[in-house]
Amino acid sequence: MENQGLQENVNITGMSKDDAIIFLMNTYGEEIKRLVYTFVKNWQHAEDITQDVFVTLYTKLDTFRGQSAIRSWIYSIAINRSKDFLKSWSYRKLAFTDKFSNDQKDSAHSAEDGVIANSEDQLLYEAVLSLSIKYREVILLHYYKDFSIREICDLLTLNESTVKTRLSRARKILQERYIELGGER
Amino acid sequence: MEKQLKHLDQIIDKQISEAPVFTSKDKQNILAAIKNSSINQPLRQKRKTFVPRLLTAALFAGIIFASYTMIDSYLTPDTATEIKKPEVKYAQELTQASSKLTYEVDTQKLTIEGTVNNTTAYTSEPFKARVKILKEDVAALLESKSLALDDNSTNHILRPDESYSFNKVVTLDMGIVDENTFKDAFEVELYTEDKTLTSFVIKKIEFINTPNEGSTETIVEEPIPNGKPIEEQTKDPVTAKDPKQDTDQKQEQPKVTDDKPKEPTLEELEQKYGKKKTPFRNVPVESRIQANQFYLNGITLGMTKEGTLNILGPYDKYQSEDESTESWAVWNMVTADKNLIENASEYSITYSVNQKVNYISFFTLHNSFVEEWEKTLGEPYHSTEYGETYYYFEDTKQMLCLDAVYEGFKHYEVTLWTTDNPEEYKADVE
Repeated sequence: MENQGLQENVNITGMSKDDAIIFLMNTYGEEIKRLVYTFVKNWQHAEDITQDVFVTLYTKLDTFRGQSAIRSWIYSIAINRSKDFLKSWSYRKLAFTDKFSNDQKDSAHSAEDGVIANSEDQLLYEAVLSLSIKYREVILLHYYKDFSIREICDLLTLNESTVKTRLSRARKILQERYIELGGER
Repeated sequence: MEKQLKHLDQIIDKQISEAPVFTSKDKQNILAAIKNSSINQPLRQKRKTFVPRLLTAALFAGIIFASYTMIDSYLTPDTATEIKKPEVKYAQELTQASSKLTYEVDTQKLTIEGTVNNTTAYTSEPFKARVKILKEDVAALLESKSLALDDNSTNHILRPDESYSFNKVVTLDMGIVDENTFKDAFEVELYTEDKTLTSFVIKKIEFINTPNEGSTETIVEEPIPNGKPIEEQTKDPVTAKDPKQDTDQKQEQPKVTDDKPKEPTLEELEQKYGKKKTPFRNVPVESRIQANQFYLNGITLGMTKEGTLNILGPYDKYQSEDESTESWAVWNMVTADKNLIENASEYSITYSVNQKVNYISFFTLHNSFVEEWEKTLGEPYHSTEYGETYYYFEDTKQMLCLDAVYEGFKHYEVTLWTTDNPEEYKADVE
């Protein structure tokens, strides 16, 4: 799956709202759903949140003036919706009561995709997903979605030093997790 | 792992699914949801009729009341009407709580600091603060007979029992200084447009960084070359001049300068700043209300790199990409939780290009320390559901965050930085 270019600024001016949302779904649907999944780690919730993201986009298309890249705008909505879900009561309850079965489902899902168990790549993937959300989000945005530090600052409304420190700590924790899981140094 | 991180995009996408996950079914669901939300909108609006009804009733009641009042006042004879003027009382006087003048002989920095309290039962009028220079020679060097303590456009208001703290740093090349140099030289004045709320001459004078180690009251007679005075608007931390810390400092400390091509070795650092003190086992966090600043292990924002090294000793790691960017120093820590499970951590400082502290952060597992800090830090500015607790000083724009992180166990990330927009941390992104 290829990442979109960071400088890409899709032009939706002149389109009707219905055309624009179809165009945006075709352009960003795949990457947004994957991103949301890495936040919430559950396909059903990822689907619901992705749907919510595009409905929100549709309702706010009139307010988008094209001054910022539309990709950043969609990402900020997706990140926010995912984090809203993670702090919701329903998620906490689910996480508490259903932790183990979810883990099993998730690993089963990966196995279905034909990934060789315990490969280095899978260990890294598991290590990334095991990070707490504040570290996971900076790793995902920087390494998975290729956003620069400055862009991450804007997306997460954090200052540059905070992002740099979090990224540095996240790498360190990720390294520890990766080794704990059996990865090579 | 670093190599793999560079290909994380491919790795994650492959691990999530090699087939597309956003299907036509998703698209149909989204379009259906949009359609439903559009159709339902007018119905929802129809149901909300209570508020307009309430507003109409309130408007009607208001008209009746206004009519009654008008008729009543029309029928009442003029002599029976008593015109009540609103009486506004202001605090007419403020009280000096403390004041001090500190002169750093090495750096020629003169710090004027202190606090004024409103001990009355009334709020003060908006006021400004300045320092009058009473001695001609000092005024001549400063090229002014008074110094504003804040930005000239700033007006302060003190409610009952509130205090106003000031901290002004100027560079003043006085040549030879003795006990009479600054005696009765500075008068602090808090004033409104038409009167003075309080004024006092600063009596307490301290000299620091003098040849007599351990003494802060020593008079220095060492000649210092003359130069032009430079007023500094920065609020340098009180800690840098703390007598306790000064005793730890070497008498003649060579400065860490930007001219050095390479960072000094540990040996060189230890020669300058004493033996390594790491790993720290505890890093006290406190707020000093007087100067409206937070201190993490005695360090606050705006301090010089030199000042931080004097207090913390040599660092364990240092990173600087080049001279035009900020640098980063790390001191190792070991913290423990209530069960004495230890965790390696790092106390890190980010320095801006001009070698001043602009960001501090560290982790701790030690819950009891955090509980202690929370007691002294007072009412937080904001708390989030993520376990982030923010403390903020409006004057200095310093934001302190205690951020609880759960990763099988609870530990905290403590960060300090400045922000002009603290509200950002209350709002979510969208």
